[in-house]
Amino acid sequence: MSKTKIKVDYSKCTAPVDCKQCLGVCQPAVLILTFTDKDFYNPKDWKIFPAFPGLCIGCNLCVDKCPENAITVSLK
Amino acid sequence: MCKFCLKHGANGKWYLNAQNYLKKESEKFEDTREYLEVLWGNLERVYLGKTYGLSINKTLDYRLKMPLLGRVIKAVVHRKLEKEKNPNPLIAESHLGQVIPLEEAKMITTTLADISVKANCPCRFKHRGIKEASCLGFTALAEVLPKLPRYIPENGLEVLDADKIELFLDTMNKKGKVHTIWAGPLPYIAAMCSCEYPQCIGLRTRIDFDVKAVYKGEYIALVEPDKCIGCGKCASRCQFGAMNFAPTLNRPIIDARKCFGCGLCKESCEQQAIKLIDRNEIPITRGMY
Repeated sequence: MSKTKIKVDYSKCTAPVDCKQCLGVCQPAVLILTFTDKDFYNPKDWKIFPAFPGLCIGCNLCVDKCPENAITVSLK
Repeated sequence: MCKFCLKHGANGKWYLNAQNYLKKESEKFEDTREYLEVLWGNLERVYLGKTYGLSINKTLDYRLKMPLLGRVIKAVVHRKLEKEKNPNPLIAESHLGQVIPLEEAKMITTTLADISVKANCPCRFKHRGIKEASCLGFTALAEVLPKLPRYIPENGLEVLDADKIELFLDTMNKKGKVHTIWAGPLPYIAAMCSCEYPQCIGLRTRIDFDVKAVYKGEYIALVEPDKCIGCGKCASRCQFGAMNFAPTLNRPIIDARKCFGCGLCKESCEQQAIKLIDRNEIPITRGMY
């Protein structure tokens, strides 16, 4: 069984709460919005984070959907 | 009856015991409010932060799969989830849920809970970036929610009357959401949510990692073969993968081991061919929560 490695480039992904297209396409809901240390209570500063890499099926839908090409999914 | 029913139920199910909703007069009410404020204020951190020395995103997945040691870890986690004395809300001690069918959800909101307010679902916002008011907060939580602006829906917090709650529960059921009650701190019942796999924190940990953050309901669904006409409407509603439509028999087959007893399939059936029976009537599912 092969596993995938998901990387999010935060220099390209700057406004995830406004865009959030990758969240909508991911079938097993691997990517989630998570808090940042800067401001925990303000969701505007939250970022996209691959929380459950073990559940990723490697369909690359999020890679195709991302307008900034910030996500890369590679086989381990 | 599950173990909470034996402990906290008054001659029946624990969530139908009115005492578990009334904390207002007791001395513990201040503690309950403080607990809920910390828990709901830090729900994201509780979910993804380091809990019991494990973080759900990195280590919990493969550690639970380890032979023997995985079972020990799971037992420790379950014990912490059920801890009732001095619970620590930052690691979700004393916070768990149970699946209930629609009729019982209506019974709870109309007769048992004093005040209910609608709140945004924190799980759905985390997973999909959608703000949807699908949670109901009861008495103590309704007092805590105004302090947490993330959970306040667009129209603001309003106390719902019986008709509005019934309409709300019916629409949620039609959309195909599972009704769950959430305790915190046990046995106080603070909220009722309309959950949806996989964008629900509780159902995700239960189904994908087999951690009992959500208990199965008190019922399981059974198909009455004589009444079923084989329309297949029910089969698309099951969120737990328990229902399979068998073309040869022209009726659905329910896997009782996977059934959570939410009653979504029953509500969709126009022929009333699906009934909910007590989980303990069937030997295989007895005590399987």
